[in-house]
Amino acid sequence: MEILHTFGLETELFLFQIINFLIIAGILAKFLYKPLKNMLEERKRKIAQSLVDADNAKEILENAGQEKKKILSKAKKDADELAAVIKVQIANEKQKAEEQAKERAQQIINDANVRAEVELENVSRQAGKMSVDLSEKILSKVFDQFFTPQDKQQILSRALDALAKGNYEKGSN
Amino acid sequence: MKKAQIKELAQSIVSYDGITDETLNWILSKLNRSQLKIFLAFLTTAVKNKNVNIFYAGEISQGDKDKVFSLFSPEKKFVFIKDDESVVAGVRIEYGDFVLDYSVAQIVKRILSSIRESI
Repeated sequence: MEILHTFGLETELFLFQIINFLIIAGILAKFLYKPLKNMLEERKRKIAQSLVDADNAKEILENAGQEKKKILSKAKKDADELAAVIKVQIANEKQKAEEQAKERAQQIINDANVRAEVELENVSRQAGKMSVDLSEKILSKVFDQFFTPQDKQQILSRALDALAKGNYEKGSN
Repeated sequence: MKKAQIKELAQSIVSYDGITDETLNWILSKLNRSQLKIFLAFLTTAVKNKNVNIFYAGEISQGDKDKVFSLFSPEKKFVFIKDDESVVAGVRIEYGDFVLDYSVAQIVKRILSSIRESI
């Protein structure tokens, strides 16, 4: 005991210090240690969850990437098929349009030929009528000179004789 | 005034043949617009029916004129017109709505007309 006293250790003080320590330890254990432990466990749990989520997200991302590739390749395939169909349709339409244009051109030529023939016939007919009209006009100018005054006198008398006998056709104005 | 009365008036004026301008103007002033139209139509017809136009070529003798007079009643008014170009030779008589054509020009016209129709 004296040795302990020589080293400065007092029994009562040490005892109270121990009790003090225990009290403080108890208080810390209750109010610090447990919450801290809970907090650490919570944090650990969250970290683990995050890691699991990250793994899931990675997996989802990979799946999405593959899905994207699948969709793109399908779209490309569909686009190629559609382009091929359109090409064929365009070629068919082009051919049809060419044939129709040829037919139409031929029809126009035929119509023009028919019209030209009709026109030629009309012109010939008109030329004939014009030549008759011209002849009539020329005759009316020169006919007078074909008859002498004596001829006219004789024809006039004969005409009146024929009228008197009733030898005429009655015309109207 | 009725249509028949207007017709009689027009015929009377034409047959009288001695009506003055003053009298005619007085008559015309008594007619309204529609009556005047009818009157003029009847007057034109009456004048056409009264007159006999004789178109001839060359010279016409009195004997030939007498032949013409004998074809119609004496009330008609005869007008002799020398028209060598349209008659050429022969005679054409127009009275009312009728034409008696005994001319060379008519014969030639008929021939040319038939040619024209056959083209």
